[in-house]
Amino acid sequence: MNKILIAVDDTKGSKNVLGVFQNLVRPPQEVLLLHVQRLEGRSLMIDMLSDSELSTLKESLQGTDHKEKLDRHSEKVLNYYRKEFENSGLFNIRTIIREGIPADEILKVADEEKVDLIVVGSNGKRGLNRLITGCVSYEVERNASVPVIVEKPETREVVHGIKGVSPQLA
Amino acid sequence: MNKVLISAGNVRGSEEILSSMDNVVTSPEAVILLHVQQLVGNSTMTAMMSYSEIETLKESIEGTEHKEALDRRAEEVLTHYKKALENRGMTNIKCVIRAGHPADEILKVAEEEKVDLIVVGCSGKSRFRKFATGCASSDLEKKSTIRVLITKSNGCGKHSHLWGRSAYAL
Repeated sequence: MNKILIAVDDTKGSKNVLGVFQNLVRPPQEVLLLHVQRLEGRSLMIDMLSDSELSTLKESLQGTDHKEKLDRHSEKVLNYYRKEFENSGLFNIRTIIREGIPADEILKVADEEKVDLIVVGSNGKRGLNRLITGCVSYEVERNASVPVIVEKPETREVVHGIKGVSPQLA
Repeated sequence: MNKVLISAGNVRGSEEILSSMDNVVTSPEAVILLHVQQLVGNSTMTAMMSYSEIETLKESIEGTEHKEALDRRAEEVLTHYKKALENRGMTNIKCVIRAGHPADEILKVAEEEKVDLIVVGCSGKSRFRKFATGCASSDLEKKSTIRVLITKSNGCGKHSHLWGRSAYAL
């Protein structure tokens, strides 16, 4: 495998990607670390903006304090993950910062760079929270044209049944 | 112990799953091949049934021609996968046949066997068909506590994504 795209942000769920090469997955020749800056609110809010609205938003943010803060933040996140991956013996790492709709940007970068695999973390959002705030891993899984690994937290409460009904109750 | 669970739904999707076993996954110590029999209709239908209903259904079709046809098909699919994996030099392969709701059964077996990775194919269904017939890969992505690798075939991830976005914007 040549190129892997790993999408990271500052959430706890994202940290799960660090374990990805520990077993079973073949380490690649090149790793692309991508952080997508969320210009406004939750991912569902930005979903509702059209492309032109989004580019207006991008322009209006240029040079403001808010944008500088976002940039510093991205640097911090990417440096953290770069260091962690370097500690585990991966050195060919390229970092990319994009702005806009996270799932869209991840898919765009995957297309442009012709990666062989996308790795995303899952924050384990469920139910209403997932519906309201949107879920990047789902969007990526649905719309990618290359294989996707969704990394899960080490331990979490297990719920069976489509609505979380336990077998005894059903 | 590095264990991989492969969801062997049908022969059609096997190419992608097997090629990602070559490219993405380092040779595992044990492979579990799971085929889930769809007792009735599609997975939206089984998702709406309670566990007791599914149990009754299982009993009622015991010994019928329908069940025999399902068994034959399961054998066929599993042998296809097993042969292909054996050609790749994997020897520790266990075949499991279950009946019920696909995503639930996959998760149950994954837990019982304590696997480290679930490999599942993408159905390539459109948004509407997914809604109408259900989709194991997105159910898994949502509910699994184990990392999931979703493989893609040609033509996956091209449908309705942008259309969905513009519909939001309108």
